[in-house]
Amino acid sequence: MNPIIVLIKKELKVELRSLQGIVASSMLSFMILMSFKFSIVTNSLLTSSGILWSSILLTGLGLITHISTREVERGTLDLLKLSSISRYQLFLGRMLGSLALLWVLSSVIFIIYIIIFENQFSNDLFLAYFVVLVGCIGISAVGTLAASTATPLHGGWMITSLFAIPILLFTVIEAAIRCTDSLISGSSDFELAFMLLVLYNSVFIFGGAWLSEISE
Amino acid sequence: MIKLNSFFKSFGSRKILRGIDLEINSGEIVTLVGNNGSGKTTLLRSISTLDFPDSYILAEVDGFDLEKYPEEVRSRIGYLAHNPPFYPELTGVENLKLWLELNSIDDAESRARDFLGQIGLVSFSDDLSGNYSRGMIQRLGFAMALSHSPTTLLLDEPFTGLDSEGIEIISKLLQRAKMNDCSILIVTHDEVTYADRVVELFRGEIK
Repeated sequence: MNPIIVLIKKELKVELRSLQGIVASSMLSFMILMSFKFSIVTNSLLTSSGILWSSILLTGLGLITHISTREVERGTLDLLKLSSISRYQLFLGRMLGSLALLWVLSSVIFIIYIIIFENQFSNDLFLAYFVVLVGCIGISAVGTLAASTATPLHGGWMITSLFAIPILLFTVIEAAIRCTDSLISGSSDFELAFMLLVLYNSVFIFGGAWLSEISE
Repeated sequence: MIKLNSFFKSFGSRKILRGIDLEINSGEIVTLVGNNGSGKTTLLRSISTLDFPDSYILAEVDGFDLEKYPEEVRSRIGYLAHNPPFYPELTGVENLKLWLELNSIDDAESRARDFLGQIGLVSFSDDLSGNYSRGMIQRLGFAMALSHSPTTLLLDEPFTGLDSEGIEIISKLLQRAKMNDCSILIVTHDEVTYADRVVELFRGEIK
């Protein structure tokens, strides 16, 4: 079996048997969305999708950091590194494993968002959900790379977000917000923004794999 | 076969390994002894490519340079850490199967069950490894180190936490590995009667 698939299956099995990361991240995202609901009264903020992406970004990075920190603390990262797979395969396996869990989390967040803030995407609801899933790819790639670098350090759980947020904010998140906002407003920006989102995702996946390979 | 010549490793300004010269032939068991902090574990981690050395003239496993061919080196090494790491959410057989699949070994599940039988864990194969005792974890770690048929074994305190039956099983497996031309480096404070020689590490240098 392809080692990348082996790593994805492992990540899903480990998380779904413990449910530590998914449950905690889902609860946190619910609280973040509720905080926004009660603290923001400006109509323009409530009718754009920035709140949705803030929640996905913050809790998604938290989930990825949790997965990575768990590997380091248990020493199982050494176990993975000792196997004869190349470093880019290890990166892709970990990234795709995190992505699978991130998709579960973002689905939960999307549902909560729709319930709390009502469906602003009207007929484009499934397209908006698809954009959320695509946006998670970039978050997972940058998050996995940042976590690999940061988690061995003291306070690595915080440093991961400090590394990843500035990179993601002006690339993946901006493109994703433009995508979902264009679905809300009905503007013609969608195609361009979606192409940008795919481009950023590709750059981060290939960049992450390449950096992982040369880091050895 | 392991060949090291002028092998240096430091962490920051602290020099851990100071010009190690070591050669372990195929089918040879070498015991590495030394005080705490003498660099034994660092040496094993560096040979296994988990850590990379600062400099060396020669560092090879079966003729493969550690830095140029790390994947080739890893595929030839079986490494038992002092505290063998496993996923507590996975069963013993799932942990071993994962390891074998990552090393592209065919028929991983039956091979994993076979090895668990050899180390006396067959009746605990389907228990979560999070419920294993220290000795059972050690046995599982040893199965992991041996299961992908490495040519070089690096064992960090392999007898820790083992009962007399466990020590006997592992000793037999080590002697069998030696007969199959495996190079074996054991870090231990215990006497290993079947070792071919003992090497002492003192403050990062071989005495």
